[in-house]
Amino acid sequence: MSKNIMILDDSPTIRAMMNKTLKDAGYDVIEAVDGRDGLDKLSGSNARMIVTDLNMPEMNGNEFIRSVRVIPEYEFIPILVLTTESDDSIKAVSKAAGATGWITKPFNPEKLLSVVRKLVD
Amino acid sequence: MEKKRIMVNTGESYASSEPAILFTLLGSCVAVCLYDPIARVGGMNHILLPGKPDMNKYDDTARFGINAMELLVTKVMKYGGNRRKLLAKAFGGGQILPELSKTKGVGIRISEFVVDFLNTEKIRLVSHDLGGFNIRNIFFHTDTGDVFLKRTLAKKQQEVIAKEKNYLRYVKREILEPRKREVIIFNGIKNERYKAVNG
Repeated sequence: MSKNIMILDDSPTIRAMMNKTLKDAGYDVIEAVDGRDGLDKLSGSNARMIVTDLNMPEMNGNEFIRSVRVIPEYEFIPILVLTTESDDSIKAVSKAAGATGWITKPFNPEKLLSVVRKLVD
Repeated sequence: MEKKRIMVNTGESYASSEPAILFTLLGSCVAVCLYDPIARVGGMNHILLPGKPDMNKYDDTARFGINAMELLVTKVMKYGGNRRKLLAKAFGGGQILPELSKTKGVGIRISEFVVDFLNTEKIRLVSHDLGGFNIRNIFFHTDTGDVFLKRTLAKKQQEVIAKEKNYLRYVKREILEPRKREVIIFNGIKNERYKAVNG
């Protein structure tokens, strides 16, 4: 079974931080810089899970989630939102878009891993 | 029209698409001003880090600093700034807490962190005034990107040192016992097959 996780964030620093956290825990990571890039890299990626930021330039996180959910292959893939947002109305939009879960930043490696393990394994 | 004037305290960040003057008083702290010259949106933060951030291991201090910077970038983007067009100016990082041996050089460490972060993010640092022994008043005009800097010597020194020491204590507590981070697993929609997980 693949251990591939796709991460989407427009910040190279945040991507590097998530990449290290997930790799150290034994996962393989596919990085994307925004929703558009994520969609391009998704097909054939064999991703088991997606962790996405919300505010990104080309395609934001919620648009990305909607686009992924209409691809039959990825209809049920766990998608976790990892964001600085904590507003309930934005959470509702993500939920309606098809997000599986939500973690509010600041980024915490143990917290991310505990959720990833529960959703992937 | 008179521009709104907003004070940005330690640990805060603020962005505006309306013309505003963001101002602050800096000792060891560093303020980063971000500006999109096309959208004419600007924002500023005011950061203080408790120790040396390790950007290879992403320790607590590094994550704290990264989060402070990310909050600012996100705010500027939400007001219409394009992250690829952003220019940065950075100020502060003075050596004003010499009597605290553990925090010696704290201003230099924050300055190095900010320069390193902006470099990684490919955000161009167009001007800076970092380090030294001064206390700085800075005034950032969000509509033009201009920053006016006024150096203050002894007069406000004690006040600034007291404020920064207080904030350092707060930050150390925050890092040791972070406020609860929210984890939610949504149910319903197309996700029924994923069982609910408690945060």
